Amino acid sequence: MATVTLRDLRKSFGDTEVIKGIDLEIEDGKFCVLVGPSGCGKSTLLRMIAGLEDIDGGALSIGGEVMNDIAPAERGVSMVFQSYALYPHMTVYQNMSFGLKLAKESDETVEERVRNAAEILQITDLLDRKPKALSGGQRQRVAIGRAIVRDPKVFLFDEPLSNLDATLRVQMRLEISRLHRRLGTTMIHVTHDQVEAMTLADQIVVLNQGVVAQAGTPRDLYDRPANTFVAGFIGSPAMNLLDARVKGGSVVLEGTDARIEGVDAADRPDGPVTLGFRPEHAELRDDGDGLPFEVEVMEDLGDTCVLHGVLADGPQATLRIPAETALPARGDRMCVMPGDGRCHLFDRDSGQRI
Amino acid sequence: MAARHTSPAAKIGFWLLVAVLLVILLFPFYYAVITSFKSGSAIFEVDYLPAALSAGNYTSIFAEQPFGRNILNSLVVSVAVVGISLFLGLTAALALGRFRFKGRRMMLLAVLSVSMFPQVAVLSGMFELIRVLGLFNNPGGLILSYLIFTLPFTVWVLTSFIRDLPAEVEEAAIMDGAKPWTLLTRIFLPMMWPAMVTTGLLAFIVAWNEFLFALTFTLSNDQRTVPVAIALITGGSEFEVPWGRIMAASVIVTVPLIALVLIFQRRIVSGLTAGAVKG
Ligand SMILES: Nc1ncnc2c1ncn2[C@@H]1O[C@H](COP(=O)(O)OP(=O)(O)OP(=O)(O)O)[C@@H](O)[C@H]1O
Ligand SMILES: [Mg+2]
Repeated sequence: MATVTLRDLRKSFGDTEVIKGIDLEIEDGKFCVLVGPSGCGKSTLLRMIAGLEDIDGGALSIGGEVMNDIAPAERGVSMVFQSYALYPHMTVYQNMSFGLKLAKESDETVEERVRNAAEILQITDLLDRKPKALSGGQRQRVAIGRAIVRDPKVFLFDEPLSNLDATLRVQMRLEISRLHRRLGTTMIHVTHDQVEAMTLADQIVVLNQGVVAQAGTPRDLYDRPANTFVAGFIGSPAMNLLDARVKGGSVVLEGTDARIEGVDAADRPDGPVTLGFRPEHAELRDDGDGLPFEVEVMEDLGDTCVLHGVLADGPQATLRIPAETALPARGDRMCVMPGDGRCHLFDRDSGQRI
Repeated sequence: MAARHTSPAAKIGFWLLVAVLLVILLFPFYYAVITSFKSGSAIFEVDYLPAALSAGNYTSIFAEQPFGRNILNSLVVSVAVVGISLFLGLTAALALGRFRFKGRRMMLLAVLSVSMFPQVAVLSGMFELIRVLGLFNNPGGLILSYLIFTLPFTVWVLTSFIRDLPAEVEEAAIMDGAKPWTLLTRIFLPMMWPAMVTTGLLAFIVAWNEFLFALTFTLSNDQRTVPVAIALITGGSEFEVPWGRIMAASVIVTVPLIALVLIFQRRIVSGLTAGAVKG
């Protein structure tokens, strides 16, 4: 039905290539989240799918049909903009029915679809209001409602929640998730927010400078990041990425003799690598059999506590430990070891996973 | 507001200042109104309160010359100028403000440079043009020539206004299937009322008050517009300047302008785009 397929998609603004050959397949009905640092081309890619930017190279198909040269309104996609982009001079009802009226739908169909969408989003009471008389969250709902009524094959969201306050954001996130389950439509969602990405997505696509760094389920990306970029990008606080060295089948932190136990490098040749382990995957060792860690900054988050400090008198590292035990303080020395099987090795030069 | 902590003296001073300003601004107009109601030689007596009101000046300007016809001419010319300016200005602004093409800056500068020439400099050229087009002594000639004044600022104001409208609203409409014409009439136009009203009003005032072209391009009494007609009001003898009638005519032609401003003042507020995008 509405599988979205990108084949070697390219886009340049002047001389700078912004999208550098993206291959991607988003299956019908899946929720795909695009993440990446600012300026990596997320919005541009989304706008190319919407038809708001021309495609310079490659092929975009939706539901098996090539869409490169089809007008935006005929692609069967709806977009929700970051700034909501409601028509200020129209009431909520007119905002939502504008597209349908242009498509010459009958009055009954328009009325029915708008009422339906308004019901789903609980904005029936607001239908006669102008956008300026709405709160941010309500405007957002109207913007989503305007996308729903057109009954698109694909929804595109460009950071729709980033203007909302934290509480409302969590609430709208749940609602988008519910909406996806209810409509079963393919959705592509751009966000900066880690949690939003991890919770909403069937498939996360991490973009870096116009190329796909990795695409996969949230689990995949968290458990098996394909490279140091994804490793550092997914997860909060970020994964520790430390210079290390393979020496006779075991991994040693660069500049120290500290041997890391939980990695198997038996069949690796000696040489430099990058060692990654997540802050939450460090184990405290009471028996003194581990690496020394000196606490410099402690952040108590209530359920857990985050420690920033020096590992094995060498590199900086971050740990996250349960906040049940007595909390360590600045200057404390403790004994830690990355969890068994929870370490990742990356090629030092290319950054690719080994 | 600041008034909360000001002393009574400061308050009185403030209102005194306002009063002085109002008197300075309004006195000439007030005096014109008073004069227009005086008759005969009473005009040359200086008094600030009307002694005896007489509508004689008002009736005589309509009786002794085609002043009604002149007002109609002015109205036709001004309304046509406003209509054409806004239509051309809006469509040009859409192109100049929303599409990228080669020579866009050049075109904008060229439009602006038209308004840099003094009126007399284009007078003779304009005269030839109007004669060739057969528009001499015809409201059409005035409409055409007034566009030189009104189009540059209409295009510029509307272009910069259209450029500041949120791009995402336009894109949302494109996603909804709006074609360029629909975009212009259903999305841009309603958001642009404040700018349209302001530029339209300015264009109207320019056309309503213009004198030099109107004098040059019309010949017969019943093709003239109001400013020229007023200037050519003559008295009983060549030594008499009919101040009473001139004042009466001036008052009559000022009233429409005041009425227009009052009608549209509520529209001349920006902030119509409020609610489109995040606050
Ligand atoms: N119209 C344009 N003209 C020229 N360069 C552009 C244009 N639009 C985007 N770019 C450039 O393309 C790159 C990608 O922009 P894009 O808006 O897609 O980033 P993004 O990933 O959405 O960033 P953010 O997270 O900040 O929204 C940026 O370097 C930007 O400067
Ligand atoms: Mg963006």
